[in-house]
Amino acid sequence: MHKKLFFSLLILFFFACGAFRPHLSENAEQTSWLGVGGNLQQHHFRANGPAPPLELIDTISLSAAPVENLVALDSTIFIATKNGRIYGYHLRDGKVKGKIKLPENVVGNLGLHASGRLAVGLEIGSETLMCYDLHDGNFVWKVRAGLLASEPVVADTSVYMVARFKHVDRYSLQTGKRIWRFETESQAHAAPTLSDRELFFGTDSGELYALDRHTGAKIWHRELSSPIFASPVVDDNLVFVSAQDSTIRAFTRADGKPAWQIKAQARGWRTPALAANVLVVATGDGIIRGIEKQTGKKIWRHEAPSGIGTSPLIVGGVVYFGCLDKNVYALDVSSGKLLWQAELRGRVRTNPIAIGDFLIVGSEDKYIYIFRQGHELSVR
Amino acid sequence: MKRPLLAFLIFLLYLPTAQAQYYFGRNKVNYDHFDWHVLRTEHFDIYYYPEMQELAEIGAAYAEEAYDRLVDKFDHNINNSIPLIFYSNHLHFQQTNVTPNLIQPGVGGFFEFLKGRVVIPANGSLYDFYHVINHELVHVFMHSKANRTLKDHRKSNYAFPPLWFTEGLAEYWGEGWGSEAEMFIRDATIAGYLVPLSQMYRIYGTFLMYKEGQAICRFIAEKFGEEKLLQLIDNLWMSDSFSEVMRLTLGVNYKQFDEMWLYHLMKEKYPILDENDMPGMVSERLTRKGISTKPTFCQHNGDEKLVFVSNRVGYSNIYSMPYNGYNGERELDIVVKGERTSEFEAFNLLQSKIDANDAGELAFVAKSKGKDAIYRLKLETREVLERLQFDEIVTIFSPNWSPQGDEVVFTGVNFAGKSDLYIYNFPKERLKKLTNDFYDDRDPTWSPNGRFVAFSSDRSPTGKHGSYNLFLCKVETGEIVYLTFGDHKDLTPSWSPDGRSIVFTSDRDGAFNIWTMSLPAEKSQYVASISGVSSVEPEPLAYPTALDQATSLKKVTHFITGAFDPEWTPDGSIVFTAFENFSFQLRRLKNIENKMYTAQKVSADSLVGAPEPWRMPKLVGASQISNFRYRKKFSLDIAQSQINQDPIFGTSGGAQFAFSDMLGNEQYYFLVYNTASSQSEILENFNVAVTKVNLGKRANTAYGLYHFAGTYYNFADGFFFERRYGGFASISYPLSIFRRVEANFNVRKSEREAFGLSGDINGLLVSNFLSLTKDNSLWGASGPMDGERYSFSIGNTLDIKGAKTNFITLSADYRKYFRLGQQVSYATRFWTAMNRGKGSELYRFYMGGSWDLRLYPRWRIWGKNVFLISQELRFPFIDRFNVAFPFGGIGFSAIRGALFFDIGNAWDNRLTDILGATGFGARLRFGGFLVLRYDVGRRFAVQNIDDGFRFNQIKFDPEWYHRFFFGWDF
Repeated sequence: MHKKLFFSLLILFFFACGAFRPHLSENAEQTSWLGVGGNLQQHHFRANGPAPPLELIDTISLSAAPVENLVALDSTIFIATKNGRIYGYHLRDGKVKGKIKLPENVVGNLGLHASGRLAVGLEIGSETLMCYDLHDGNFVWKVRAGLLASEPVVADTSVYMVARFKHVDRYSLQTGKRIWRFETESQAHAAPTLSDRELFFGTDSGELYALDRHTGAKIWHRELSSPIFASPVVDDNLVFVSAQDSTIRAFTRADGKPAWQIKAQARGWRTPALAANVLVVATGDGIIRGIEKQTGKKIWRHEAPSGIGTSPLIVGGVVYFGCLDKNVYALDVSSGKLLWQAELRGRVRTNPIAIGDFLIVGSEDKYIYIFRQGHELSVR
Repeated sequence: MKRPLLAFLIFLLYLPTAQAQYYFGRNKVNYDHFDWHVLRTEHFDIYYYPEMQELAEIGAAYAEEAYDRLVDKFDHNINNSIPLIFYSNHLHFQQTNVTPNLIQPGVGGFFEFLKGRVVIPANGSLYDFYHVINHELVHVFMHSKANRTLKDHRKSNYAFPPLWFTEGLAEYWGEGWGSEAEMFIRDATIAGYLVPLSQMYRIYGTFLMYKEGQAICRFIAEKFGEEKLLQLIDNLWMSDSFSEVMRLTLGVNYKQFDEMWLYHLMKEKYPILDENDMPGMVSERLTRKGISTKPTFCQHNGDEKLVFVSNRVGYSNIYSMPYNGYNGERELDIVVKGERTSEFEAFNLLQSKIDANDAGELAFVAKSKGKDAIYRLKLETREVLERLQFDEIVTIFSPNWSPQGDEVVFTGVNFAGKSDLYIYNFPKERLKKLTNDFYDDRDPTWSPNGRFVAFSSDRSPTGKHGSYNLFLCKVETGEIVYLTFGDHKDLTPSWSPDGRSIVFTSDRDGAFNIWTMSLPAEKSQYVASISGVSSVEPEPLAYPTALDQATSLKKVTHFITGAFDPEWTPDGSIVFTAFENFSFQLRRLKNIENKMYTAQKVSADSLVGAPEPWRMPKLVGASQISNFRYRKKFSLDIAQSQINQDPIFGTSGGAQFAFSDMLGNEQYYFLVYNTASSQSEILENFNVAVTKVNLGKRANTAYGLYHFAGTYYNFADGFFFERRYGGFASISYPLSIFRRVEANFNVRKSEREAFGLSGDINGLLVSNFLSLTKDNSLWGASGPMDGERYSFSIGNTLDIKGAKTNFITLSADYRKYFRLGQQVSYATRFWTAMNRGKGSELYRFYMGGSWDLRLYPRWRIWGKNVFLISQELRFPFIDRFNVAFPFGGIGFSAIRGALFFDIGNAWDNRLTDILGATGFGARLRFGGFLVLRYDVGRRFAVQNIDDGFRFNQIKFDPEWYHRFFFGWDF
């Protein structure tokens, strides 16, 4: 009798774990974060969301450190860890709903489609690009796509990915069939950025490419003098790039002509964030800058106590970012003034995302922190 | 027979200066007392002593600047305060207790993992100080980042990056790529000893590996991108094999990388041979073995000699050889033997010059009892005429005689870490300071007329980047003017006999070569010597002035590797040190005037305006700095547990912990284990020991309490249960780095219950021992090769409760090593020990086995008296062999051979027989710390010796015996 109960519960457990069954709610944008940067253009921006002060309402303990980017669908956050697990945590219920185990315990980076298809790119292995159906709880296809150092980007019915060893691909989200491949001269590490027509990405040798997103044909490319490890950010007319030579650049989107550039004192490790007229850029010396996007003119500058571990996230009039000193900070986006901070257990390396009035951020000490708009000022 | 953990504790009862396996070893002597303080900055806790406060603040500024740069470079930070421990000079650094190991003169600093401490000595050069701080901080960041990467991916069992990478990256990101690194790699490539990356295990831990690692990192940065170096650390989690990590990061594994790298080196280095040469092909070779450097010419009573420093036999010595007509090694004389006595503990082989005057007196520097001393020695008689040490000066370099022969100018580094020029007048016994600042002033040399001192210094504006230029100081006024100027290294100037020219070493065009500069005749007048052969004297250059109007600058050598320490000799030759084939050797170039005449004149350095010397860096953010006296705080160093299973003794398990303070001066050890085989025996078989060790003063002390209990076995007593509990105290006082006196006091309750062969023991025993130990041995691959060591000990054990035990113990162990060749030596050992008095028969000495009487079963011979005489011829057998597998390889260092002859025995009342063994042995050193031994031979015995000894009493056992074990040669 006990044995039967045990196995029934076990089957139920796996069944429950495997299928998350999200559904698209009416306010998808507020309840979802489908890929790196929150949108295809990687703006790291939400018009509405939690404003400081925030209070910590929950933490999620993981089996290993979380990867750099979280995704979410219908208030369920999907967290990939560096030992090959994907956790699904429901914000409203405050519970881990299930776990997916990736092959060979290899770290996977995630891209999400509103239909509930989760694209997973593996950093090593053989079948390195796979698609998991959250409704069915199955992997629907797996392909050999090369080693992926960054997130696959899901747009419409396609998955776009940049492989470490010199190619950029587009795959069908439905079938996993490759639609096109573009070969590059050198390695690439950062996730591609998409617009309605183009795909932008940078390489380790400092090449910035604009491809036709549908055909894979090259539109233009520029050679910078140093590696590009951060994803470009795309606006209506401009493409912004923060490079390893401590220079922040803007190019015209149509033809790649240089628009402006400014010199910082340290490397551009993180993708900038963009909101209205302000481009927010963090560099390796802990300096975070608000820059006028059309001209590159400095609006404000804030010095964090240590290196900045995440891309900034702009939520309304607030910039959130995580720092290597274990703190997450909030600044005023128009002035750079410090509004709030909170200390976590480890260096903050997982880019913060905003879902509704929640702020979610991860630290390398294997925790995800869920903050919510609170009532008390807690600046330290 | 002792249990392993008990043996460990027995080792603990002796101080850490004792060497494992035997009780010898050199001493780390705390000559100086340091009043430690802590300078707390934003990211560092800097430990320093007040005399060097200014230097510590400069070091703090360097460290903070490096920290900010590395946070950006590594995309990583260190969230705790990094402990930096500074010493103002290398001799103080050698006294540190952060590491128990003896520190060699060539060690520039280290990072240790237990407490994450970085220990850094200054040496008088601020640029070197800056470089070492940067180098070690790269280690700190790399270690933290690698740790983090593996932990994040839950791959903590994966290997850290290999040593060639960690050291290579630390050097490449700490200093970049300079003339010195270029010199080593050029030499390795062209001389053909460069080791491919795929075979790096062959040179594991060597200086060549470090330089190759630096070169590999440079190639990766240039070929694949600087960012790839960091990605190699980021990707450590991907594979347990670093070759595979390289493949996943760069797209090439070790073998594929080698193809690219080696080809690149050939393409880059071989063309240099078009217009440059290896030194040995175009100059006269004077020496060939070891490292031979710092030549000086001496002419006295018609005898011309070349005197130099060399470690050709392992020990560093000062040698002399005939200047002309040298016929090989037979004509080399040892003038001063180093590294054997406390008068000449070490010569600074690669940094300090020596000099001889016309009176046949040699001035040189040797480390002696905690400080450097200048010696004045009569070459003819080898008599030490004078020995100088100065209160305020710790390290000394490059003494140089005045033309009159009554003064020496030298570089001295004081307690505060400042390097300055000093002049000592022998007749007046007066010391004068010539410079007084933080610039590093080196290699002073007196002009033939005695009015000027030329020297090398980093005081020019580019000195903060490590460049050195030549300067002239007018002795009378102290005025200093430029002789050369530029962002390169000009070193070791030497005057021509007529005073018209200066020869020096410079890397101004990328490699260290010999250059000359002359003041044109129409510009100046010269004096040749104090005897006034020509009656004019050089005017110092007006300051500021354009140097190119005053000098004729020429490059005399075009070596592909490097030339140093040029010395102008009266016959118009230059003797110098050349680097070639991974060695420094003496070379000579004759007819230097002709070479100067034919050499192309190069544009002299240009100096316009008055360049400002660079300023010392300052700490910013004063609000984040605090300064306080050092307070001891203890933290855990080691915690480990162990479970043993023995078929006879059953299971035992326990744990040990070690704590120490930040400076390593006070240490606590805790040992707990249990050998019970049933629940009821737990309390009875509890073993615990607590020991405190103090290393902060010259006299090292230890004391502790213990309780040991368990069932033991040895061949003499069979099985027995023994409980011993009590306390001990010991003190070790080093007389020098070679000799020490030790006293041990032990009081214990001893209860032994025998199960058969021997009697019970029950007493309250007090033991006192006094020992004198010496060790100046020189080690080869498997054990000592030269020198001697001994330990003499006397003690008393008394039962103060009963009256059954009261005996004296005497022990003498003497070993001497006679060097017969570079790798051949003859070793002899005499060991005897005896217990005399009441109860002594219950306390025995044991012998037998690979460590004493070979070919006999281990510890199967016992008695209250023992003697052993061992003779051994040690020689090379196989120098090196490597086993290469498809997936990698293993490298074995030398297999050495031995022919041995041992005689000895142990007895209680009467020695009736002498046991012996003779045979052949092979020793293989494995992994740098383990020596595997194999002996094969015949046993023999001399029986009934109380009837007298006759050769026909020697009876050989017909059987051949062989033994395999581990351990160093005696």
